[in-house]
Amino acid sequence: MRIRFQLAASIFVTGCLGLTALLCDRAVAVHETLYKRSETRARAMVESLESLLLADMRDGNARSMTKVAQSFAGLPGVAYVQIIDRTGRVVVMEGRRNVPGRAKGGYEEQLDGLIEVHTAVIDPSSKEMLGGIQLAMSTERLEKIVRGIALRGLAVGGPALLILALAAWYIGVLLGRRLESLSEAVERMEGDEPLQLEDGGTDSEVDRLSRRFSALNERLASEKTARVKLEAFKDDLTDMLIHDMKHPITVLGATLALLTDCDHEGFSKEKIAGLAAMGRRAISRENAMIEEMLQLSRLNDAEVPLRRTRLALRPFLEECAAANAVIVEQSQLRWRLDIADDVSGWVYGDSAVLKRLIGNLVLNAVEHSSAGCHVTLGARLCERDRSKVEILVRDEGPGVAPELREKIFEKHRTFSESAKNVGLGLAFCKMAAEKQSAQLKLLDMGGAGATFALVMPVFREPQAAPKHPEAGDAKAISPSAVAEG
Amino acid sequence: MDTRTKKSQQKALTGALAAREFSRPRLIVIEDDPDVREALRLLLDGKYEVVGFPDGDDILAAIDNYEPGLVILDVDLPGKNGFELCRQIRQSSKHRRLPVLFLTVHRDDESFVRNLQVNADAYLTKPFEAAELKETIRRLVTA
Repeated sequence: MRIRFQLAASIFVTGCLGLTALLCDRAVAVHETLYKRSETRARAMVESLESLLLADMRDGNARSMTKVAQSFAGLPGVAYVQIIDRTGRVVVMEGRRNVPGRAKGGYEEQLDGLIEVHTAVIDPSSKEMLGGIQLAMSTERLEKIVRGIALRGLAVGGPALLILALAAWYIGVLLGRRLESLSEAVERMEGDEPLQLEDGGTDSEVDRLSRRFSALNERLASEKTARVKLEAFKDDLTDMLIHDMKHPITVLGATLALLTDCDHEGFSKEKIAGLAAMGRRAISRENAMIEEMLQLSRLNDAEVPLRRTRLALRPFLEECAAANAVIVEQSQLRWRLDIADDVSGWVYGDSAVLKRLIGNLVLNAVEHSSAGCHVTLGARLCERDRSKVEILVRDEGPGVAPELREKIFEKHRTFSESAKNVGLGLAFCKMAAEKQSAQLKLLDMGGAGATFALVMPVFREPQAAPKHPEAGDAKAISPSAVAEG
Repeated sequence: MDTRTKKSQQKALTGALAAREFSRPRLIVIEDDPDVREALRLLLDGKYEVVGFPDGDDILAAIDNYEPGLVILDVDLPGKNGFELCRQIRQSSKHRRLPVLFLTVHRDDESFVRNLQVNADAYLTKPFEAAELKETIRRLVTA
């Protein structure tokens, strides 16, 4: 059975039971109240009879007693009045007493159809018992009244019950249908099906809830995919690190073994110096790898969010150029800063991470360049989308083989045998770029060398009223902005 | 780097070196890391003539030219990996009995099983002990 019918039936049955219980309770209460009132009336009449009949009973005046009894027996609701003398003999009996069986004991006895009240009459002066008086009230009239009330209750309660049933059915169907659509929506989400709400364009609570669930589901799925990707990426990196970290250790081990045996092998001073240099290089590689691992670890740590701030583009690039110039010059290379004229405004990013990213790209360029070559840090607006800027790091080295161009970021490998690092630098760069809503690309510029481009959204003040020009805009930059390193 | 240029340079080098007279047992080392290759050359230089290659593209030609007593292979190599090179040697009727020693960083079972499947003679993981390496090579070359 569908949920809507189950729910409607449940509410209907519950309502019926509740209403019936209420009617019954009211009927019993009315019944009890009426009986109590009759009892009280009967007791009052008996007390009146006692005071009226005291003298007659002392004197044994049967005629007078009969008259009094007749007058009471004629009152509405009174079934009979009975007077008994001191011997227990019935002296007067007025009214009808055709009632089945009498209950025993008690001052007031309630029989089927009768409420009986009796009392002993005692002479107050002599304290002598003169006899007894018994009065019975008929319940016939009471029953009639109660039946009337019950009938009126049913007359009112029937339609009320019908209305309640219809309301219950409607509520049940309404709620049930919403529950069903919610349940179906959840089932569709479980089955990765598109969410199709029954009511189409409506905006009911269930629809909104379903949409929220759907959005939450999509977000969770997206987060799961990202986490799986990240885990795979980390596994890949870990595997690569284990692989690559053993190489310098192997070299160090071999170097130490050779240095230990150098007397025996008869090594020259130059050869020993060469071994020491090889050992230092191995240590340097290990250090570089540890540094790169720390960078990656920082980027992966969700508790350390990036501190993205507004960075004026030109001053920022000039700062990066100054920071990297030393490394380039020490490697006997020529350093060049080349920012296009139309590049201005600012980007949003974590200054420290962006500097490190650019530094890694420069280091990568240095490692793949021969003495005397240029290493260039540049910037230009994207040709297809002028709202983005390309921050370029270009070298004049051997370039990247076509078959490695697609794999260079995926595999996180160096693309030249002469590289001193292990490729984690580019892995860091890619991850750092993605964390800042930027893209890192290897451009195909033609000719020798490799050009990496960091593509980021660039923001500028409206040209009409540049109230707060950026520091970079205010600074004069030569058209070519070329600074030889 | 242009692949054709690299291959032609390698072939020229192979030919030139092949013309030389070797008085000591020869070893071919296929290892992509230049420092490890150099370290191996220095470690073994006293007793062996060591010829190193960054990849195994022309391994059979190199074996033909140098007639080494042993081939030392890394597993992770650009182009064909070490297992493929070993299989290539084993499938060659001329060189199938040539001893092959794997030097790799992989210590896991899969690598080990693959190593057995390609019928290598020995297997050392990096970083290795110099003495163990020398002893393993001595055993394989004199066997």
